[in-house]
Amino acid sequence: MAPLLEAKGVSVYFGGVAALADLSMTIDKGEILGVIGPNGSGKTTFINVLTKMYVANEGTIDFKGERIDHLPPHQITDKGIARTFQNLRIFKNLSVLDNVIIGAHRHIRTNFFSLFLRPGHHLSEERKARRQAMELLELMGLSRKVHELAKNLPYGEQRRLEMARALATEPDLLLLDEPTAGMNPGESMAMIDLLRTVNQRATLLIIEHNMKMIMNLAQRLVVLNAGQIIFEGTPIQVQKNERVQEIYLGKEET
Amino acid sequence: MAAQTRPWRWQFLFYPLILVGLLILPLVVTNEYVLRIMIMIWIYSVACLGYNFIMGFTGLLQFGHAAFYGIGAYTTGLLMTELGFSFWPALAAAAAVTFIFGILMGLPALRLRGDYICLVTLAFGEIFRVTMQGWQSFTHGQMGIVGIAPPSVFGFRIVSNFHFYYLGLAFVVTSFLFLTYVANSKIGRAATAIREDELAATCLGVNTAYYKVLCFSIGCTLAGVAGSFLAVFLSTIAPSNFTLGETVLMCIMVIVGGLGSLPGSILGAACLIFATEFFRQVYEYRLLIIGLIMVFVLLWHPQGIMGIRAWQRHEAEGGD
Repeated sequence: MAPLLEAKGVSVYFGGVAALADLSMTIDKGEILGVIGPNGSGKTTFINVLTKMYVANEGTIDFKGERIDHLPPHQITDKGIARTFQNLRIFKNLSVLDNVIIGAHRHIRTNFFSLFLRPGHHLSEERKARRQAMELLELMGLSRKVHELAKNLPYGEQRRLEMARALATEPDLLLLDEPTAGMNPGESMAMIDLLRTVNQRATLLIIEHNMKMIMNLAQRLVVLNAGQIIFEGTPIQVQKNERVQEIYLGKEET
Repeated sequence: MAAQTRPWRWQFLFYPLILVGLLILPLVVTNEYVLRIMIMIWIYSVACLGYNFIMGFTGLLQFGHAAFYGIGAYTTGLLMTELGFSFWPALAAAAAVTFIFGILMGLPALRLRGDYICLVTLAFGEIFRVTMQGWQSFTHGQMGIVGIAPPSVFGFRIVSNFHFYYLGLAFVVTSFLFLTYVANSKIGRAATAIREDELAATCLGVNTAYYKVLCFSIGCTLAGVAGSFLAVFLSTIAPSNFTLGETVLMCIMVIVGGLGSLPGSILGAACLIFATEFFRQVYEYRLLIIGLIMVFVLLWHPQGIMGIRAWQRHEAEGGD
């Protein structure tokens, strides 16, 4: 079976520095793929390339058998890729519910003209988007906060809100940039359960620094260092691999 | 929208009550001077509603609003005096022309970063005014367009201030309902998403360039409609009606009323028009006093009377 996403020979240069160097990887439908690596190894850059926040200098990206690397960012979302951000980017001054409904943007067909020519259609679409947003907020355990301003939520809930918003686009592939950053161990464990539920709706690519969490959650791990994949395998294989240990713990002096 | 973030139940009763009050007002107050002030408030309200949609909802800077106000006025004036159009077709044409100019202005300007949009729109406003001043054969330059016929509604000629009051009020109510409807649709949500975080909006599938231009043009169209009404109300328009000072005045109205609040725009227009009239005695110091009002609003209540967010934040993040 063809992979859901296939990146081939992707390179990104910032000046003379290669943030990603000839990186190739595939993501299979339905899996939870963890991407780990030290700071500056190119993990976030990879997500940024997939969502066209950065333009790759070289390489191609196929999604569902279709090239997407030439598309503008909003069309990539249309194809079915959604993401969250390492530093939360929720719409702070909007209500929790509105944050999520904006995620449904691509499913609402109403435009400026049909807004006035077919108001009934517009209203039924609004109702549907609202209902789906409520379901997602329920899933994320935020159903009691729908009318609060997003900025008034505690940090952990803001993270879940951002995820609900990304899920509202109904993505096939969801890219999560450090979903447990800044969370305490208890919250991280709850996040694992939540992500397993989310995985029933979308394939997940998760960047994570929290080893315990990602080893527990991911079926497959990709280890990046200096913009290259140095190892790929199951969590157990990764734990045993010497090169990975070298990168994380340093080389043993002999 | 704001509708879901604040308790709005009381307002469902509040707005009809205010509307009833405003409908009764000219029956009680028959002073022509007061009526003219009220009509000017209606005109500025319509323009400010559009302005707020651009600045408060979509988060774009716009300093050429008076030019769109002027384009609407000149389109109406020229069509009615030169080509013998009646008011309603001329109004529709004015709306269409300002919408198109909004797109033409928006396409290049909105590709720029926040502070540059400000400069480009400012320049556009001045270019418009100078062109209207200089193009003698077309616009009669400084003299302006005179003798614009009064409008009629279903054969009923609108001539007195009393009539214009109600027509103006109808314009405000229509504009308000129109923008409320748009703001609570996909378009309005995309606009607020762009204002809050453009990058995140893009990542949620919002074509930000398209929605920025669309929302900018919608806002400009309302300025055009206000201008169109101004033309038939004054029956004379000249470039001096559409100076940078007008843009600044509208900008202050929107900020004082509250960015992101449609009722706030109307309230802001009312406050500023009353203030300018109140200080007419000391005409030379009028702008100084308006400036002071704005400074105090920004110091004590930076989100304006009814706004949902502070001006400082808007400025700091620009349109990026």
